[in-house]
Order: sequence, then C-alpha cells, then structure tokens
Amino acid sequence: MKKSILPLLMSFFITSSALAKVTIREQILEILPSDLSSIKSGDSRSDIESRLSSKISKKDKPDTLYLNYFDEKNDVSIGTEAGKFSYLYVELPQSLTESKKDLFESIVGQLSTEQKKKMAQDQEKKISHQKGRYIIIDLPEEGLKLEFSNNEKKLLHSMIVFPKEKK
Amino acid sequence: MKTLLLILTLSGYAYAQHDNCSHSHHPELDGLADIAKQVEWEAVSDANVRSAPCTKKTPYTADEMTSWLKNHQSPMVNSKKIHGISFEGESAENLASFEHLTTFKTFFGDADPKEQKKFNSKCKKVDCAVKEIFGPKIGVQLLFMHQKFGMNGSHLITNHRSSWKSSELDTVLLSLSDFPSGILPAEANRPLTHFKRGYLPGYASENVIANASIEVFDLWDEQSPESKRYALVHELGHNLGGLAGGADENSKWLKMSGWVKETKVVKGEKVTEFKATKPETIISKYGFTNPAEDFAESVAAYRYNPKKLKSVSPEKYNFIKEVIFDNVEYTSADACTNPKRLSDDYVKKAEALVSSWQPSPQDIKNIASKCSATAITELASKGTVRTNSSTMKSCYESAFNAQAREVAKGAFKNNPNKDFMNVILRNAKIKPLSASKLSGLVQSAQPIHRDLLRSSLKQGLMGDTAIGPDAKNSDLQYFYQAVPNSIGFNPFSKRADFQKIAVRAVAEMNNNGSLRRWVDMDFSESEINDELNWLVQ
Repeated sequence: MKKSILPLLMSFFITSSALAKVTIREQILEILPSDLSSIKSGDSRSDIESRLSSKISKKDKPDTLYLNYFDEKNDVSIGTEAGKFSYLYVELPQSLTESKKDLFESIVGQLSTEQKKKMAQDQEKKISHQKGRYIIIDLPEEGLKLEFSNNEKKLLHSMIVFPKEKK
Repeated sequence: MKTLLLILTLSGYAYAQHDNCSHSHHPELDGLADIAKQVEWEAVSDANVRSAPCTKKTPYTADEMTSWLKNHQSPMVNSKKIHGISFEGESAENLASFEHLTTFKTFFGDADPKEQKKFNSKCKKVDCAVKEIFGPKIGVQLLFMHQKFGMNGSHLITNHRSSWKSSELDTVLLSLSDFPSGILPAEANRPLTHFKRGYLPGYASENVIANASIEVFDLWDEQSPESKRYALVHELGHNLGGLAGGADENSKWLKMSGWVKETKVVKGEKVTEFKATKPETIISKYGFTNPAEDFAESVAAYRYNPKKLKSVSPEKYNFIKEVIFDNVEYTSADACTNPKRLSDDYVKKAEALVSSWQPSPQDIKNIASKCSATAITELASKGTVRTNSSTMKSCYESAFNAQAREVAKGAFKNNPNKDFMNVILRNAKIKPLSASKLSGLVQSAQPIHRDLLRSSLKQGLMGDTAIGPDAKNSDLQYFYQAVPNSIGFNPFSKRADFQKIAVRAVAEMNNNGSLRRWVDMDFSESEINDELNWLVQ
C-alpha cells in the first residue's frame, strides 16, 4: 500500500487527536452496563423509565429516578430536567471495579499539573468529617465527576455522568 | 465542661452530607426524640476505654519498639541513597519506611521536587537517620508505627502538618494496638498525621477532632487519653470499613438499621440524604448521621463497649466481629486472650485449595498478561524485553502468587460475609506456592506471554496507523490506539512508552530494509514479524 500523502496524514492526526480527547469518557462509560451508558442527552424521562422499569425503586420525585441497580440501596439516580435526562449518578460495586485497578492511575496520568492543583484545592475546601475518604476527579470538559476510594486500592467508587455538551 | 465540649464536638459531626444544610439542623433526628433520649451522644465513654480488656495499659518503650523492629527485618544487605542520605547494609523494610516517611507527595501522589526536603546526614542506617530527623524517641516511634501498623505519621509527607509529640504518639500507638494482631497494617502506607497546630484547614469547623484521612486537629490534643483512643479507633473504623469491600456502605450493612439513602446531584455536586428506619439498632446519636458513621461508631463500640453493641444490635456485632476483628471478642479478658481466629481456619482451607490449584492455559494467559505493562516499560526503556529476564520472572511470580491468594479466598465461598473479608485476609500467613510449582507455572507462562505481546504489538504495527518507512515520530504517537486491550491493560496509560517502541521499531526496520525505503513501500508482514521476534524474546 502506498504511503498516505501529507494531507491524509494530517487528517489522520486531527482525527486521532479528536479520538484521544474522548477517550476518558469512553473509558469510563465502558465500565457501565449498556442500559446505563446508552442514556443520552434528549432521552425523555418516560423513555428512561420504560427501559429501566425493572430496576426502579422510587419515582415519586419529579426530577429524580432512583434505582436499585447493582445492589438494594438506591445505587443509581437519574436526574431529569424539564422531562429530559440531565445526569446519571452511579455508585459502583467493588466487584465491578476491582478489575479496573489501574483506572485511577490512567485518569490522573492524563491530567495537567494545573488541573490536579485545582482539584486538590477544591477538595481541601470540602467540609466533612469524612473528608479524605474519597478523591474526586472533576472533568467538566468530559461531562464527568469521578469519585475514587482514597486508600491504596484507589478503586472507582462512584461517577456522575452529565450529557456531553452540558456541565 | 469537658462533657459539654465533647457534646458540642460530636454535634458538629452530626450533619448529613448536604452541601446546603445548616450544621445546627439534624433531619435524621426528627421523630426520634424518644429513642434519642435513651441513646448517648457517643458509643464509648472514658470508663469503657479504661476497663476494656486486652488493651495495652502502658506506652511502648523504646526497647519494645527497637526489639520488634529488629526481629522483623529481612537481611540487611541493601544500599540506597534516599533524599541525600546514603544508606548501606540496610533491610528493604527500613529503606521503604524511610522513603515513605520522608517523601513529599502532592494530593494526587506525585513527587514535588520543590517541596521535597533533602538531608545532610552522615548516617548509614535508617535508625540513625530517623532519630536525627524526627528526634531520638519520635524517630523510633514513627518507624515502628509505619512497619508494625502501616501508618505514616510523618509531618514531611504533605503540606500543613505538624510533628507529633512523643506523648501523643504513645497514645496513637496504644490505639493502633487495640486491634487484633495482624489486622494492621491494612495498607502499606496510610497517613496518620497531626494537622498544623494553631490552624484549621478551610474545610474543618472548630468542632472537628479528626477525620477519615486520617488527620487529627488541635481539639484532639485537648481530649482525655481515653477519648483520644476512642476517636482514633473510630477513624480507623472508617478506613477499615472501606478496605473491607465497602462493608460500611453495602446493602447488608444498610439493612441492619434500615438505612435508606437517596443521592441526587445539585449544582454539579452529589448530595445524599440518609434516614435510618430502625434507629433502635444504632449505637449512638453520632451514629445516626449516616451508615458510615454508624459503622465507625459500631467498630469503636465493639472494641470498648461490646456488650452495649451486642444488646443494641446482635447482627451488627456479629458482622463487625467477623469482617474487622477476625472473631476476636472483647466481652471479657478470657474472650480476647488466645482467641480462635477466623483467619486461622481460613489458612488451613486456603492452603489446601492453593496446593491443588491447576490453572488452565487460558488462566495462565490471563495471569501472565498482568505483566504486560511491566513488559512494555522494559521494552520502551531497554529496546527489547526478555520474558525470562529477572524483572519479568519476578513479575510472573508475583502475579501467580496474587492469583493463588484469589484462589485461596475460595475457602470462604460459603461464608455470607465473603465479600468483606479483605481486611482479615490481607495479612493471613498462607504458605505461598511451592518453589517448584511456581517455577513450573512461570515457565509455562513465558511462551504464552511472549506470543500475546508479539501479537498485540503486531496489530499496532500493521494497524491503521500505516506504519511505513516514511513514518514520522508525530505519526507514531497514536500507535497505542491500534494495540488492543487484550494485551492486558489499557494502552492509553502507557502511550509514551508505546510511541518509543514504535519509533525504535520503525527505525530498526528502516535500517534493515533500506531498499524498501527507496521504493516507498510499507513494511511487510515478515519484516514486522522479524522485528517482533527481536523486540520480544
């Protein structure tokens, strides 16, 4: 096969750059079962309710659906705003995240020094007796907020997933 | 006055995780007035701590600590320079401890050369160096605390910390000794530090004694020795609950007090409300806050006030007995002297499982692939990787021993608490795989792993990245994307290493195929195979 000419190489470089940028979100979403990871911006509350009906534990609040998904403790919440999907909160069982032990290192390795500094400062301001239990990685450009256990295992404990175009 | 201060202190803890909640309102207490009247603010009193059986009554002496340290070192044959000090004839344990005690790390665990202290010392031994740096008594206390309990009390490891006083460390060490032997260390290097004296961090209120990081504040200093001990055991309860498979937030624990939790996201922040529907099973008012506080209070009560916990909730008592205290009970001196440990029973069954373990070829492949990241690092730094190198053999051995420990957990497969046994199993002394069995497994893993590495890298070299004689370094920085995850880890995390490998491989194939470059054709499959046979041996 002949080598690509320069414009084709450039388009590959640009495409690859774009692919590299979404990788963190893709890395995270691939951990979730498909019925959760496939929820997207524009999905209506009624669509979401019908797709996940067997897991719903509570739906009396107009802006939140609660699910017993992995465990019987409302471990998933789905937020809606004006009847449309606005966030997904998932608390992950350790049995699922044990196999992703290098995830923390992988994510932190992709952060800039400035990002890490800001996140550290934000967490220093948190008011809680349980401060230090978790490390929070806030990635607004990815529409993600991740919570990792602050112990030697550094397992992913929970995630908030926002629609990609919205913080 | 002290009681009032403690009540004020503990009331400062009792807020749910609301960002917009006033600290003075406790919705979890609404409707619980009658029960609340009968429940103490705290699970443990000073008198409980004083009368608790099997507690060490006097601080560790220098002789006790030095003797323990001496008896727990591997051969003193290592030399290493750490932060300006050249150690000779030292043990691996001492060197590791010294490095942990003196290395500054940022919040995310990165080194920071600007904050890192360098030392100017003539000491050749760690014992000498820690005394010089921390003080003659504190140095030994910190070294002992780190190696025996896995706790790092150094003020040098992060910002805004003050040195412990020796008398304070006496109390800290006594608290740590209140857990059964072998429960700690639960981690290799857990910070347990004193926040900067005279200051409060932005996140703390004046009522905070300590937190789950584990940090203690000035208010801890003002407590009685018994209250200090209780506070630390409470914080360790949080730590151990998390390490024990999330025992303190699992539905099993939640059901014991009928905890209902609802989490939503408000202005981008997680907000969780908790409500206990069986408040009569909660040991203290502080425990009403949320399931994690309920757990930590229950751990402290198990240790110092076990009869009360048992009467309030036999279910919680039995759960904590197994997953945190390894079946050691403290209801009397007899109960905790020479107890029958759950982990002893486990060891016998586990060793039987391990000795009969015969991994399949697929098992061996999965285990060996845990060393793929190590192989890629080797390959990037040295230009080739040999699956029979000492680095790779050591990695395979660790991976097989780690898998053997997973197999060993099968000894608990019928135990209803099997998901929460990490803490009691961590230090269980299971005989590792025999040397001959381990050697056989490593030998069978080497060719399997070699094939896996070669095939994964081949997919990269032959992939859509159009690797060819004209490939530039900038073309190759996304080489990792064509390497499949089946290599055993996410290639993204080592993308720089993969680029080095691709650059070197292309240069090498260029050198070997100069005619091919002249006619501007991609490398052939056989050229790539030849290169891979050289890269991975």
